[in-house]
Amino acid sequence: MKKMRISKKNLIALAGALAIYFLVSGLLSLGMISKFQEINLMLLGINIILAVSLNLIVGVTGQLALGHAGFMAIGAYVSAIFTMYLDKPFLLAIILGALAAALAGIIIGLPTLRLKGDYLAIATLGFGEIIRGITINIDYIGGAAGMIGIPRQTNWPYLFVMVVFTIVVIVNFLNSTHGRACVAIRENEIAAETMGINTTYYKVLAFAMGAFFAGIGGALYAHYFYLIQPTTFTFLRSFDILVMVVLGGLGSMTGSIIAAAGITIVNAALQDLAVLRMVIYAVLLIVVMVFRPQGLMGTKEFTLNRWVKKRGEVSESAGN
Amino acid sequence: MPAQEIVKYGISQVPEGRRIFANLTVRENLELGAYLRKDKEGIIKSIRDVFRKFPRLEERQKQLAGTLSGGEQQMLAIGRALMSQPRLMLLDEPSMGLAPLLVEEIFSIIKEINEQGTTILLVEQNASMALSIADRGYVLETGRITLQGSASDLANSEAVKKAYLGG
Repeated sequence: MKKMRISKKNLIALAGALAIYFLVSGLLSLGMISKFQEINLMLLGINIILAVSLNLIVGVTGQLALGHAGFMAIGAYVSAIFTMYLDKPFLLAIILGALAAALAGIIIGLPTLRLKGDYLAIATLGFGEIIRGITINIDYIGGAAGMIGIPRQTNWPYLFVMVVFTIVVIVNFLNSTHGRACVAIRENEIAAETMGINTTYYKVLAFAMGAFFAGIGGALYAHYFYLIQPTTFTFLRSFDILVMVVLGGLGSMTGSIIAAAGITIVNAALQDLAVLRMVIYAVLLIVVMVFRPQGLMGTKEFTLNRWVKKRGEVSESAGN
Repeated sequence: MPAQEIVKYGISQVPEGRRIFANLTVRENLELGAYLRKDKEGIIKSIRDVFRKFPRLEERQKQLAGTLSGGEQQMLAIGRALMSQPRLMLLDEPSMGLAPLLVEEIFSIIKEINEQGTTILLVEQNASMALSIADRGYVLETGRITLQGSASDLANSEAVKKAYLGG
């Protein structure tokens, strides 16, 4: 019976996703979405991928990491090398870029994840800067000038599939035993160990998964804006992503999605206001944090379940 | 051996200061206690057993663990440790910060767990209480065992009385 309910829920989610997909596709083919709106649509999708993946590390597992732009840069550069220099298909380039980022996540994660809180934040901040330093100094990838003329292959279908892929994988991970283990680490690392949870393994796993999807985000970014430079991936970008995660609520994936979409839209809407833009943006953030310090969603998820909560509770207690 | 490996050998720990998962519900805390077990039905049965021992936890199973009182949190910590079906259970200062009445309740449950076949190693500063339920006692001073024997012998020993039991 429980299975029925889940598959029904999945069907509704699938129908919703398809509706969004065809709605936007339709609008795009009818030319009802301007160039400016399209750019922001792409940014919106990429930001969702970045925010959801960072939330896995910071919100769910509780490891304050500030190097997300570094992983994004690895995904962007590696995928661009494969499409631009080696003429490989885009999908393969995305996967290789993401894998490279995940590998970097493991290499960085193993030594730094024994650090906690602010120390980990500083170490990962340093990692992001190292990546930037490396990209500036390699002539093969354009040095400080960056890579220009990357084939523009990111389009709405690619973006959509990657966003859905990211969300589905991470949400399923969270609902599994592995996700539970990560939450336990966030709540109390010592207690998690006494439960028999291998804390190092799960911290590195969360880090690698987060990096993997950040790599996808970077690859999509590079192949839409056809120009990537070391300055595209400064720590300010890591910070932007962190703002989305905190604003949406640490540990809430729906919160991250809403916040990533909201911030992208607000940013776009305020584009004309030039200097005032940053002021209004900052004030908005302060207001939200004052009135919702736990973030828009707290640690809760917005689910279809909540609408049918009463029924759900009855069937659950009957199941016991 | 890393800490998490030890659990596999049938040893579970109730840490000092309880260390429950404050932002998870009571039930989720118990489920995490069974983290290494794969038998879903067995886990549900174990949860029921814990609820039988601690009816108050059942009433509050959907409540966030951080909102429980100190005594209830201690019950949850013990219940959570039971979920891995340990053969040996290590309890670190279970009476810490609890009202005398609650201490008695907790200790009677510890005794019950022991009678059901789990060996218990209890570290406790409330010596008279601990000796009243223990089979054997050890007195540690700066890391060395200075005195050991059956609990009743220790409770009647002059040295222990003088140092720990208040004359």
